[in-house]
Order: sequence, then structure tokens, then C-alpha cells
Amino acid sequence: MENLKLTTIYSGNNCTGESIVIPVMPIRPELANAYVPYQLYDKILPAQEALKKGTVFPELIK
Amino acid sequence: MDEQTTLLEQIMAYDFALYDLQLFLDTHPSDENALRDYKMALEQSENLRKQFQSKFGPLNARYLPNTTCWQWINDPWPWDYKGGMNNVVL
Repeated sequence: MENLKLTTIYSGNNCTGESIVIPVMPIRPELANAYVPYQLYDKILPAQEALKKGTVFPELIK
Repeated sequence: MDEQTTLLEQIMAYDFALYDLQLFLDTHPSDENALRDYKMALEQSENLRKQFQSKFGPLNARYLPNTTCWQWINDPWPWDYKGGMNNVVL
């Protein structure tokens, strides 16, 4: 399932502290709560194309 | 498009990319790929600024080339490049 994609974040400053593995979306979403998926880095657009499209992230072009 | 405008557009494009990557890094501070691309865009932006300013003068007042003259107030001013009296038929 797409929700089960995992990534690692750190609890402290400077990428230190406890490392925490999180899903990009809650595995058990609650009713009446809104969620934003945690974006994973892929490729970015060339700068000039990004300026025209309004984002460097191809997956955000709607 | 003349060289000056082309350079300005490239500077704007890299500065935009830097700001978008900054927003991503704010929520993903340990993402090495994003950080690598941010560094690359920063280098590009700085090189383009150097190139622009050595040829066409200051982008802001903090640019101080080796000269005894304050260049920031040199003509033409931004609104003098196009338009103005040049395009007015009297």
C-alpha cells in the first residue's frame, strides 16, 4: 500500500538524536482529521523550467 | 533576448529553485539529495551573479568592485531600460 512507504527522520538538531522511522501517511487515519503526506525527495526540474511551472518538484505540478 | 536579460532570467530561476528547496529542507533537514541540489543551485546563483555584476554593474548596493567610484547610482535606472521617452510619440 502507498501509505506504507517509510522514511527516517531525526528527533534532534543537526540531523542528530533518535532516528525515527515514519510512514508517509498515517497507517490508521482517524475520521475528521486531515493529513498531508510526507513528501519524499525524487528528482527536481531544471531551474528555468521550475520558474515557469511554479515549483521545482515535478510531482507538485497539477 | 540580450545577454543581460538572459543572465537576469537565469539568476531569477536559480533563486526561485533555492527558495523552493529551502522550504523542502525546512521539513526534511536530513535529506542528503535535497541538500546536494541546494548546494549546486547556490553555486550556480553565485556564479551567475558574479558574471552579471562584472559585466553590467551592481544587482544591489553591497556589490563593491575595485573602483574608487560608487556604481550603484549609475544610469540607466531600472525603469529607463525600456519605455520612458524613447517609446513616446509626441
